[in-house]
Parts: sequence; structure tokens; C-alpha cells
Amino acid sequence: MKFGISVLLITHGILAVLLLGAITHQAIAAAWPAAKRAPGFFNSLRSVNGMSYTNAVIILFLVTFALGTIIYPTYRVSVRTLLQEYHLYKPEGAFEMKEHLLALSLALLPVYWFLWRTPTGENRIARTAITSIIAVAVWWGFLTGHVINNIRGFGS
Amino acid sequence: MTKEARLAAVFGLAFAIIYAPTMDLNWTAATYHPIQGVWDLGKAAPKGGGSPAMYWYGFVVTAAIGAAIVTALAALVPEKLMERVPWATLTWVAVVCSIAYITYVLLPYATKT
Repeated sequence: MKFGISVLLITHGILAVLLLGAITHQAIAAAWPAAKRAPGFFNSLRSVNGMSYTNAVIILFLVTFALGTIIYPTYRVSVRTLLQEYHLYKPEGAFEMKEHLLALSLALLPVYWFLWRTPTGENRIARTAITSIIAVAVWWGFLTGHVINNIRGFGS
Repeated sequence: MTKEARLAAVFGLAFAIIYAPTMDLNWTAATYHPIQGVWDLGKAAPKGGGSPAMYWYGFVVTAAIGAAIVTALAALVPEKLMERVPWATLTWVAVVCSIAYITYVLLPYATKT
């Protein structure tokens, strides 16, 4: 059981890294698009085709989210109790926020998909805002999960 | 925006509006007891044995059911009326407001020592 949860936790983390890369590229390209392709790291980052990340982001989000919901009870039983015991309220609150941000992001996925399927100048602000909200949620979730894992100690 | 895209925006908007008070007031659709591995319908107290009562799954279900009902009702509204509303913009604004509400609810975690 413990080994299985560890495998799921590591898989959850690896998929989160992939998701982080995809959504960050897309959010930057949407919020700060390059007028034309030019050499250099930042120009390359800004000029990626955001549309090509959409399906990957949705699949990675859904799988990472599903794995998170499976390992969540272990967090509640083995980790959250320890956080409360040691009065580590800030990390505990950060994890609460993670749950809610990701739930809200999950419900945004359908409209996110539609906005990226036909990206127009008219829907650019909404597309950028929704992509950015999902990106912030994924970053928050990743960093919080990382910190919580460090506090509890892997496999301890 | 196509009709499907508008309805997707309505779903995200309704989910955000329903979710924040759901987590604040605990309108959970179900409770999970991880030690016992048991589900209860609606809000239930912890069953003891060191098992917490987990409500978050139920929050997501409550908000999803509510949003699905709102979306179904929105599908009945004539297209000419629906077209006039900037649904995608309303959706992200509602999500930002919902995040602000949730942040306020969770603020004690940042202040208590």
C-alpha cells in the first residue's frame, strides 16, 4: 500500500512537471506574444504556438488531478495531522488553497479548450486570463505539493 | 463564439460562483472517511478512530451538479439573448472573485500561530 502510494506520488509529481512546462509556455505565449520570430531564449518562448499545447495540457491536467485525488486521503491521514500537530498552519492553508484552485481550474478546462480551438483577437483577453489562472493554479499546486513533501519527508 | 463554447463558459462561471460558498458553508454532496474507506451522502461527522471527514470531493460534486443544472437551463435560453453576454470574460472575472473569496475564508491559516 505504502509503496503503491509512493509510486503514485512520484508519477503525480512527474506529470505535474510536464504540465507546468506546457501551461507556462502557453500562458507566456498568450500574454506576451512575439510579433515575429527572432533569436534568443525569451523570443523563442514567446513565439511558441499556444494552440499546440491545449490538448496536452488538458490530458496532463486530468491525469495529474486524478492521481492527486487518489493519494489525497493519504495526505489527510498521514500528513495533515502532522502539520496540525506541529502548528504548521501556513503550509496546511496553502494545501487547502491548492485543492480549491485546482477544482476551479478543472471546471475551466471546457471553455479553455474552446477558446484555444479558435483563437481570435476578440477572445484574446479571456483566453489569456483563463490560461493564466490555470497556470497560476498549477504553479501553486506544484510548489505547495513540493513543500509539503519536504516537510513530511518522502517514505518516512 | 459557438453555442457549445458559450455553454462551456457558463459551466465554468456557474461552477466558480457555486464552489466558493460551498467550501465556505460546507454544502458538501458527500463525505469520505479514509480510515474506514466509507462514503456518506451529504455532510457527516468523523467516524472516529483517527479518521478525518473529507468534504472536498463533495464540494467538487456539489459545484459540478449545480453548474450542470445552470448550463442545462442556459441551453434553453434563445441564442439571440445569449450572444449579447460576454460569457468568456464573465467566467474569468467570476473565477478571480471566487479565488478572492476563498483566500479570505482561508486567511486564518496565514495569521494564526
